[in-house]
Order: sequence, then structure tokens, then C-alpha cells
Amino acid sequence: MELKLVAKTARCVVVELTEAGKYFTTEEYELVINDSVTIRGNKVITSIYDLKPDREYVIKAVWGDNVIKPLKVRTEKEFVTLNVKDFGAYGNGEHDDTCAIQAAIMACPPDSRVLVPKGVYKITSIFLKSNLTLELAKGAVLSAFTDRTKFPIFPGVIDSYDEKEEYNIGTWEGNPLDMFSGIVTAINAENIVITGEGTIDGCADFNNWWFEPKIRKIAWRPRLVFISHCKNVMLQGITVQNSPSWTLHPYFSENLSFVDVKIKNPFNSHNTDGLDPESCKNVEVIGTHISVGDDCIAIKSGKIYMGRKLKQPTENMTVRQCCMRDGHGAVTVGSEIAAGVKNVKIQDCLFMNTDRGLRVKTRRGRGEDSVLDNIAFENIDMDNVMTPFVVNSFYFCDPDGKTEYVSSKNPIPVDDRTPSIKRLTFKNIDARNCHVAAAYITGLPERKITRLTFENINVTYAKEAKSGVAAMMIGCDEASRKGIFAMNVEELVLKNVNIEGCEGEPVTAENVDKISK
Amino acid sequence: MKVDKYVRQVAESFQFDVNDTWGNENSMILQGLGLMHNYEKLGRVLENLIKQVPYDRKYAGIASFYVMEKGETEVKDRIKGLMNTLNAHFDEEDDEMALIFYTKYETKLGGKEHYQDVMNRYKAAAEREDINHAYFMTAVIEGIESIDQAIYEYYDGLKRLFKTSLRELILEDELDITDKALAAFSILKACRLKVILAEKYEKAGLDLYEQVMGDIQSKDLNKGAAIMMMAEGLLH
Repeated sequence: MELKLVAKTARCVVVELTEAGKYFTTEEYELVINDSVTIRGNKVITSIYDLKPDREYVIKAVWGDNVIKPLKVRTEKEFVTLNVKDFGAYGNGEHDDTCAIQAAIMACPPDSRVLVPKGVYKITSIFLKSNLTLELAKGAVLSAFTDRTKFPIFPGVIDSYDEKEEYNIGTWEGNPLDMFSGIVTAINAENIVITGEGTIDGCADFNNWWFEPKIRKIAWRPRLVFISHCKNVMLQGITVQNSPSWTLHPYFSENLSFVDVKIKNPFNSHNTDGLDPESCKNVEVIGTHISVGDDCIAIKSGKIYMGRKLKQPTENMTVRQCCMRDGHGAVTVGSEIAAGVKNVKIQDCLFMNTDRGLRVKTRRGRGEDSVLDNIAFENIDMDNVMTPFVVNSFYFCDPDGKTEYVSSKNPIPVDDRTPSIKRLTFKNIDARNCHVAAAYITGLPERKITRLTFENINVTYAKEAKSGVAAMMIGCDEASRKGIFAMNVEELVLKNVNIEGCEGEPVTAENVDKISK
Repeated sequence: MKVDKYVRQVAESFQFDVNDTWGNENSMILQGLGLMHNYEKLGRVLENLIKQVPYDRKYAGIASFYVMEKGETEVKDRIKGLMNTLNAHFDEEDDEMALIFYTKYETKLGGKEHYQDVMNRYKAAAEREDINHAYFMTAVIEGIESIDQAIYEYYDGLKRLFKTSLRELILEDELDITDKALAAFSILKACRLKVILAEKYEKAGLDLYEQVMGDIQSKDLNKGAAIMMMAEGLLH
């Protein structure tokens, strides 16, 4: 057991107690800061607030009778604090504070912070700039208006004057389409931190953004936080909730950290994915709690046009010590993955009450650049997940998703429209109280999944298992208590796989070239 | 002459023609009225005309969608009936304006499964040696407005076809007055829909508009093309 530094700012330190559990620690423990302040904790990742800039702290963890080796850490330097109330923000839940907060942001010098103190600040969109720390204090809420006519619009594409190139700003479900600007937006910026115990509340409900959600009204719905073409961005500590659509949407950005973030949207809200990195690289998600109405994390790389044009996959992503619950999928890859997804590792996480654990959604037509490779899940506990593993190569939820071309189970000649799935690994996974099936895996008959590994897997079913549909594809019928179904796979590795209480065969393999045990 | 007076006069003298082609004057009159369906001064002119046209007339096909969108649900059956007729007797000689109907049908009623076919027809039309760019641009810009942008590849494909055709049109020495009306319509609409840069092209569209309006009583002017142009002009 060890106390490790995860992240720090001038006012906060985030620590990790290793080997203490998955998201929650197996027992409560104490963090003692400079032998004076004591915090009781029950999470592996803990944020310590109210620290002073450029000061050394000694942090000890007391686990039962054991004192873990102390961690010494010096907070970052800080020049000035710009309190938004000094810039004219009211924070009274009524006044439009957008301009006051924006003024503080634009006026903020390097190595400084914009502080949003306790209060409710009504805003439309605020825009972040480079070298900025925005701190939302405990009790501070950036509360968004919901009148769409108040929001700026980001055009999907703007032609260059010589008409040879185009500039993309707006995006909707993988295509360059007009959207409202995010409630918090950063474009072409770097070195940004949003930190603190406060909240960004999209205030979406079924009378505004979630009403007729699939109809474009003026423009497509905003993201709660939209980070486009940025570098070195960290979100830490904050709560984000009631998002109009996808909650956190990093887009063509790199070096991103999401640490101890709380993402909350109602289970029945529309398209309110938690975190959707799209064509991003070097992404880490640590200690984050996600409870949403769609996919908790959805890894993407554009629909056909953007994927084919820019060929920027999402790659080098780590998710660990996170808790994901109540969504359709805990971690989803797809469906907008035209430029592929590579090198993703999900480890030491809890998945609870989601429809699926891992969910891969793809289909013919995503294109030859849509290559999914080296995606691994390790040390995951799942509880009450309908189907822990779903790989669907016939996903039908596009406007043209129910065509014969997409849904045919017969081989279709491979061409530049054919996507591919290479190596998927599931290791050390305990899935309790499942309902529909242990796994439902379908590759394409003309391009099989290269290698699918299940190792040290335990699956049990709920006493009163519900029935449901494992994958959104034509031909996948409602079922309950099914085992592993795998179709169109080159090599299926099953090492120490225990499925208790399924109906029928524990493993059904169709068009699988090789099964290794 | 005021727009509404001109349009009303044309509507009142509408002849239920037996000449049944997509791009004839009647078709464009009805389309123009459709494009003006939010122009309150005209009331229910289009609805009243559409209901008098036999359902299998191609020239009422495109405009029927505007009536359908206003809640006239029985028109949906008329459109489906026409589509069934077309599927049975698809005519390779259909002109460019047929593409508008196919695009609208696919988006509104066809499930979008046949966008690839529609796209192929647009491409084939673009490659015809006798292409009339003003007519073709009209067909494309209406297609762009109708197509589901979520299937972006087709939307982008139509944008490219429009830009290519516009470049060709600009090179043409002289346009007749109907071509000018359709060019004005499609250029102005393309600017409004941000398909082309308004900064570069809107003035050309407005110039063409003024030229047509200056000769609005010309016997050579297709009245439907004029109404379509006027409908777009109301938005600029």
C-alpha cells in the first residue's frame, strides 16, 4: 500500500492510496495533512482542498493500525486570484453573469486563478483561454440558461476564402454540423485547469434540451464542456450535471486528465454520455464517478467524413479507479469511430447497473481506417450489468443503419468501407448479478475479430434475471441468462472462464476459427 | 410589381397541364408556391391547387411535400402513390428536377436507405453533356436542403456537386432569363444555407435577381422559376 500523487494545483492535491480497492477503498481510512488536519476517506482517489500556493505539505494515510509512508508535496505557485464577484458577477441565481465571468477569464494573467466563490451564477457559454485555472469553490454553481436563442452557434464548417480548405468548429454525433457552443468551451487553447468542489449545471430537463432531442432546432444541442483542439487540459474535482447532450466532449485534443470528476445526468435523459473523447490522444480518467442516461464513457473518432478526412484515432487512453453506473454502456467504443481507436486500457473500475460493461458499436460503412486495436479491460468488478461484454459489428442506430448492407450476416466483399476489430482483452473480471448474457460478440463475416481474450472471468446471474436485448442489431433477440456468444472471430481465447447458472451452453461459437483454452 | 401580386396572378391563371414533366413551368410554379408556404399573404393557394392535381402528376410531386409538412396527412398517400408509379415506370429521361422529389421522398418517407441511389443519379445528371447548370444547381440546392445531414457524406457530396456546377455556370457567356432566375434562386439559397461563401457570391445572386425582376413580364420567363426566385428573395 502506498500513497501516490495523482495531480496538484496551487490550491489542491489529489492522492491515490494504492492496493486499497476499486474506486472505493475496502475500509475507511484517514488522511492527515501536516499533522493537523484529518480527512476521513473511503475512496482510492481523494482530493484535498483549501491548500495554500507554493507550500510544502506532508500527507499521511492511516489505514487501520498502519501509517502509510507519508507523501511530501509542494503546491504550485500562484500569482493572483481574480474573484468573479470583483468583476461584477452577482451569483444570485438570476442575474446573467456570463460577461462578468468571461471578463475575469480574459483578464487573468499566467500562474493565476479565476475563482468562482459560493453562489449560483447564471450563464450561457463561457470560453476558456490558454494558461488558465478556473476554480469553482464549494457551493459554487455555474448554472446554464436553457433558452437556446441565448447561445452562440458554432458552424459545422466554414469554407476558406480560396475555397480549398475548411474550418470545422461545430460537431454533432461525429459529423461537422452546426451546434450551440458548450456551456464551458475551450478552442485552440492549452494549459487549462478547471478545479474545485463546485458544479457546472446544464439545467437540462424534459421541457427544454431533452424535449424532442433528435430534432435540430436552430442548431444541435450543446455539450456541457466542449474542448476542441486543445492541449494539456485537466478537469479535477468538479461536478458536472444535467447536460443538454454529451457532458464532457474533448475533440481533437491531447494530454487530457479527468480526475475525481463527478458526472451526473438522469438515467432517462437523452444522449447524455458522460465523457466522449473524440479523436484525442493521451487521455487519462482517474477516480471519476459517472452516472448518466446514455454511455458513461464513449470513445470516438468521428463518423465517416471526419474520420476519413483527418484520420485521427483516439489513442493512448487509460481509465482507472472509476465508478460507472446506470448508463447504457460503462465504457463504449463507438459508434462514431471512423478513424479508429487504439491502445485503451480500462482497469480497477466498478461498473454498476449499466446495460452493458464494455460496448463496442460499429458497422459496415465506417471505413477501412476504423481499426479498433489493443483495447483491454483488467481488474473490473461489475454488479447488476445486463450484459458485461458486447461487441456489435451490425449497429443499427444510424439513419441508414437498418439497410441490408449494414445488417447482412453473409459476407460482403471487403472494400474501403469495411471496418476492423483486432485485439480485445478482458482479464480478471468479476461480473455478478448479470441478466441477459455473459457476452455477445459479433465480428463481420468478411473481416473477423482477430483475437478476443477472456481470462480469469467469473459471471453469475441475478436470482430473477431480467430479459433484454444484448446488442442493438437486427437479429439479436431478447434473451436472459445466456452464456458467451461469439460469432466471426479468428481466435477466441477462454482461460479460466467460469459462468455459473446460465441457460443453455456456456459458450456458443459460430464461425470462430480457433478456440484456445 | 409586388411579389404577392405577381404570385397571386400566376396562381389564379394556373393551367392543369397534361404535359407532365418534372421541370415544366407548372412544376416550378407549385414548387415556388411551396417555397412560399410560410408567406402568410398567400394563404392556402398551394393546398387548393395541389388538391386539384391528379395524384400521379409528376409536376405536383415536389410541391406536395410542402403541403404534407403543413399537416395535410392525406397528401402523404398521394406522394406514396406517385412514388409507386415511378418505381414501376422509372424514366431514364427524367430531368434534373426529378432528383428533388427522390431526395425529399427518401428523407421524409423512404427511410434514407436509397441515398446512395439518389446520389448516383445526381452524379449521372452532373455528367450529362447537355447539362443546364441553372436547372441542375436548383435541383442540387433543393437536395441539400432536404437531405439528412447526419449522413454527412451525401450532404457533402451534394455541396461539391453544387460548387462544381456553379464554377461552370460562371463561365457561361449568356444565360436566358429563366436560367438567370434559377441561378439567382440557387445562388442565394446556397449562400443562405452556407453551402457557398456569401461574401463571394451573394452579390452575383442579387444582381441576377434584379435583372430578372427588371424584365419580369418577359414571355420567355418561366413563371415558376420567377416565383422560386422571389421566394428566396424574400429571405434576403
